[in-house]
Amino acid sequence: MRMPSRDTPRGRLFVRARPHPFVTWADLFERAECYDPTEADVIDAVRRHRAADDDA
Amino acid sequence: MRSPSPARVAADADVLAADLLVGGPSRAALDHVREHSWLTLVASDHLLDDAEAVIRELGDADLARDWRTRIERECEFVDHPAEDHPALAVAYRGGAMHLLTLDESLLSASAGAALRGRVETSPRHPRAFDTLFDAASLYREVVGGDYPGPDRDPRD
Repeated sequence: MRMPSRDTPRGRLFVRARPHPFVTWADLFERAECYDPTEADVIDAVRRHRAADDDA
Repeated sequence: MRSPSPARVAADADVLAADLLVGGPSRAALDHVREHSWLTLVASDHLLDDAEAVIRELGDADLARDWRTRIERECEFVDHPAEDHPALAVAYRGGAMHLLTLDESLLSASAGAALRGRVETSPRHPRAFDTLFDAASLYREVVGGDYPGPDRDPRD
């Protein structure tokens, strides 16, 4: 009876390097550049969001 | 509940979202936190929920999701009742002596007076934090010894 081999199949010894699993701040800031809100827009949005939560 | 420390920082949802979407003082302030491993950004799920909702509204859903994934690696989490003001609760329970906010109602003199004696945190506009941040002096106080300079890439 042929026993299962303990050798790792050769093809599995070489694993392709995976891309960095985490997004970086540099990447996020670059993606956010296409949006152009002002500080006032952000403040208003937070206020609206919290007011909606309070009403719910 | 953590004892208050000047090395612990809370940022309200407006500062978190403005860091990503606007830049300016919010990004400058949070860059100080990102580039020093001995500073801790304290947050809660409620606080990040608020910021994520704003990023989704003013940006897009993918950006908001990826921001959440990234910021969660940055933060130390505390829990608090949903009805609490998230930023104040995080600062209080997380021992953050700095609370970065754009909310005028928290930055007002009357809010400062109301907080004093109850919470050892100072609400600050991110511009003020950026201007007053003295890494060398803070390092001496919380770590000890000579300040070696930033030890992390704030864009990583």
